[in-house]
Amino acid sequence: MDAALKSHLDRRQSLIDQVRALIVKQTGRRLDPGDIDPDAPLFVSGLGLDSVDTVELIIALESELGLALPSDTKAIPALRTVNTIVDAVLALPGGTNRAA
Amino acid sequence: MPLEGGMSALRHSVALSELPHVSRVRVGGPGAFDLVNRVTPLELYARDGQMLHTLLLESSAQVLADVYVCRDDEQYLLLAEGPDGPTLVDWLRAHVRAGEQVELQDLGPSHEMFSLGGPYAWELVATWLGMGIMGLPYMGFARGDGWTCFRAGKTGEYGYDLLVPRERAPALRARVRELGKDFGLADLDFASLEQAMLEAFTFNIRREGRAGATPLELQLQWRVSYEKDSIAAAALKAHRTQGAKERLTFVRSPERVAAGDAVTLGEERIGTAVNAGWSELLGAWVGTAMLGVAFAHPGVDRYQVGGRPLQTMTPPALLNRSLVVNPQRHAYRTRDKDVFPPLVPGK
Amino acid sequence: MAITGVGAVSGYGKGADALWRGIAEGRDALGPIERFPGGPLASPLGGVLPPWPGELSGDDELRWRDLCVKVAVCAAREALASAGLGDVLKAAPERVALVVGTSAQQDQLGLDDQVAWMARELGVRGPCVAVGTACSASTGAVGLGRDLLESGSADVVLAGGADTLTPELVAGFQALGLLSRGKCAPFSEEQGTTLGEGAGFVVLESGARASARRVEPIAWLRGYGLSGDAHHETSPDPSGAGVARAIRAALADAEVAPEQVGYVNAHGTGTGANDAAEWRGLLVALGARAEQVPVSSTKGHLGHAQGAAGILELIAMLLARREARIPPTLHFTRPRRGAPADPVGESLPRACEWDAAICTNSAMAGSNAAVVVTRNPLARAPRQPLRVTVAGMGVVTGECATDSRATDSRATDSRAAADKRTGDSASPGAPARVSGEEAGRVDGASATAPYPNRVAASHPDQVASLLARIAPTADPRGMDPSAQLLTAAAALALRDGDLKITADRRDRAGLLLGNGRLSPATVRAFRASIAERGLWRLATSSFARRMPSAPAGACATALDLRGPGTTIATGEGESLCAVAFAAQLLSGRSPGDLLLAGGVRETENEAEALALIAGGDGAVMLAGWALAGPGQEAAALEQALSRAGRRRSELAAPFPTFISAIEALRTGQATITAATTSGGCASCALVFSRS
Repeated sequence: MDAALKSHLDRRQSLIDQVRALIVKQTGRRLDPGDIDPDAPLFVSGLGLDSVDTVELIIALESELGLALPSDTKAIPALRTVNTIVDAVLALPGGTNRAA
Repeated sequence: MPLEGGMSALRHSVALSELPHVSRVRVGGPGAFDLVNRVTPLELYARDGQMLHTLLLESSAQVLADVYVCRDDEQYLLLAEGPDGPTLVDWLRAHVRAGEQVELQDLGPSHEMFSLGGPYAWELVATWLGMGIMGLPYMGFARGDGWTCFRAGKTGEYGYDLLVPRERAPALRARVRELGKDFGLADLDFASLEQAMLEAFTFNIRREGRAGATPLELQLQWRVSYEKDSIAAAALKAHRTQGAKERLTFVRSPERVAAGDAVTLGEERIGTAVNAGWSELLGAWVGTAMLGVAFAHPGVDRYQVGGRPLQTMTPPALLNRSLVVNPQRHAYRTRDKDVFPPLVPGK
Repeated sequence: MAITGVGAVSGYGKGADALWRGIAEGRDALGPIERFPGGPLASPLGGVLPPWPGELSGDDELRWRDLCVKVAVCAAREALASAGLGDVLKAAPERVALVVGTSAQQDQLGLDDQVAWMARELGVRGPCVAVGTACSASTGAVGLGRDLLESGSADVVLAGGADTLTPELVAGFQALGLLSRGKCAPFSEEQGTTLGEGAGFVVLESGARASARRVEPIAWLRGYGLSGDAHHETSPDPSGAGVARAIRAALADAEVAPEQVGYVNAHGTGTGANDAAEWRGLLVALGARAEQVPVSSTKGHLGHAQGAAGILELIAMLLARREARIPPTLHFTRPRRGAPADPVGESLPRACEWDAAICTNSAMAGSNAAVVVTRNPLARAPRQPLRVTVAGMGVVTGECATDSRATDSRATDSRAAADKRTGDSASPGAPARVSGEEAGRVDGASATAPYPNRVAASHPDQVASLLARIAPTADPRGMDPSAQLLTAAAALALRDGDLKITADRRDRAGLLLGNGRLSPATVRAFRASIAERGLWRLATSSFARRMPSAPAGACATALDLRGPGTTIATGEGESLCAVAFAAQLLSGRSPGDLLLAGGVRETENEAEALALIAGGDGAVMLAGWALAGPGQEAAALEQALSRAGRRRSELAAPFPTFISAIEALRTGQATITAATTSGGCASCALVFSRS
């Protein structure tokens, strides 16, 4: 595969690892980060995170990944899955430079 | 392309789907909890009136059924896709231990199921069954006179599944259709229901379930627990330890994709298409493909199927209207005053 | 019971008059909180107390507690004076009780310390009890105060609440997204609440006493009801079923029908979740009447005063009634969807004369309380109290040990011998005692197999695996160690009594917890999150658990206990007091109603619970109970024996825990035993007998 593709794939892998580790830490679930499917619904169904977890996750995403999300319903689409969160991070200015 | 009929109703108002493909089995008796607990790979942390979305697995961790386990006081109701009622009953019976008192009842002959789904499904259901239903939380169910209403849904829209005794069904359906006239209610046929499930990246046992994969590859780890002792526990843990070699990925293509098609990157085969369908909403084919883990990320447009382009995407395919409709603020009757983002960005 | 006096300190200033004047003039008491920085909030609003004269002692943390005690004392004194009881504390201080809804203003000291201090300042020497359910605490306090009077534990009760604004409170509500941007507008736009602070008390006494003193009651407390949502840590049950249960219980207790209700003072915080759930609850509880009765919330005036919310709202209601009015709902523009049919969205009090009114409040961790107040003392047929039986007992101890762990210098030879006998597992009828590890080996694979009632678990992991065995449908994730310990003890008690909480029993089964402390593990997590991310990014999960009632809420949710319940604190021996309150509550309910009562001490890894049944026919009965002032154990015992119709001579030396008292009965060493405590801010005596 070419360098650009490899870079993209590596970047996404690194980011999903970071986001998953963050979720595990913030929500205190006894999970391995790898247990969180990248496309699994996080809230309501899926992981079943609730309103209390939402707040904690938004705070953590901001402090660790610089992703500022409104703390109301407008944040919902970005928070649906790990991959949607990664999409939001990559959409930040300079976002594609994130993740070593 | 504007949506039509049932699909339009599902995405914009309310659609009605029949659910003959959902088996319904009641598990009762003093041994009910022990049996259901034994065969369920997820902890049964459900109170009366709550449901869990999980799987029934064989001891190899392969998927037998896509199931809602619903706790009805001391009994359990299993709503399953995959095996039919009698097959499910036989499978459960095979797991009853000596001395355990369990009653298994296939509700297929005695009950029907249908579903109301869409951004305003909550409003139609409340109009029909009473405002009390507004307090029903997601993955909860309520019992009423001649009906049980499960708030679930596999399409990414508000969804209410109704279980009704056969003799009450015609009258209840007639009532729903009558009330549904004010909601633009339309029928969503089975093929369209499956297409909607696909667009939501919802596991379909008749399609993704045939890939012979375990929850790890199918992105269904959220439906199981590695800490739960169940018949599939050992296999689940073993797979996790080995690590996934491939992962189910959401894909789209401007041209037709078929189950079994090889997915390639240049000369290298990197996976196989599992399921695909034409999405009127996106104006493209959407589907699922089992790709090698290194390749299984969204945002790639280099892969190919039979020489034709295949892109990987982040599911779901759309910004479901149900995500933004707020029952405290919005209503079908006043929808003309409300401004919502488009279902598909840029359209 | 008669309400003969009121006293209040609020954002309107000192005194009930100041409170009424503000409401009558259509003003709110909300302004910027200047006492501490507001973080990301430009200027958070609150129903802030006016500056308090004199210096507040202590460092920053203790200042809020000091202010809380001071305003409580001020309001209590005003209440007594307004009842014409200024001298009662000199004449018979041991017959005056204090029941206070309040919150932990800081991490280490318990609620009982706060209340003990208030009592000392006032000179109250009767039983003093804190109610720890935060937002519904003072409403519950009024009801529990009524029970103290009815059980003969006091002649005059000061019931109410006190709370002050702290940075942690504001930050926590902000983090949970519950604060409104402007002044809160219950049932209207925008959504969100505004916090407040203050103190309020009512004086309760029997009608006979009031008339003997020739005092005209302000109103009559006819009944009260409690319930648990058993739903979620911070969000109310959206169906409003919990609120409905509390209101229904209050109406039943009061023997008042929905059609007779003329006004409802709702909790009405202004948040989307609370207001919607509450209206649904009112519809369920009052039926068609709900659409006709005016429902207002005074939080637009006072803000959400936490532990003082219920009492200030009740007092506002009573003061308005004096002028034949009801308080309106301020800042009301247009009704939100799911607002009450008549939300009294006006700026001035409305003319309305009610004969019966409801004041209802709900709290985080799902504790609901409602009281029914009437204009006149409607005659009520005296009810025959139901007997209370002990159906089961569950104990989780820090080590595998014998009873003599309970160190009491009054241990007599006979009791020491009894202890030794119960410690010997070979003796017939001795309760089986199992260590946490052995518990794992006991074949608990079945949900129905019998299980020992006392389990030793020296490590939290053992408690978690115990829970997995005996309460497999209880989700332990998100439970701190206090919640797990309490849930384990409660589940053991249910198993011990072969009791299943199924179907309609859920609404009739509740939990009454004796606990005044915060979980040390939760406090550590809470402070760690603040140290790591700053106050305004505190961990909301820890904030939600930072209440003495949090373990009770978690246990009720885990075991589906939706019946009446609350959390009280009296300090040492509060498990016994919890049992006494539970028994008093049960004796006035319906046969078959069940209450789990007990306590938890996380630092010792201990919890214990009794399963009590109203009117049961079990062998072990809770024949008598009583509370008295601190150090008045003998008086409490005398009262309890009198209730049981037994004499002191029939009894060997009392035990310090109900565990040992009941085990002595079960092993046949005695047919009547007692458990007493004189620690903390209330004495308690429980008399058990074997039939």
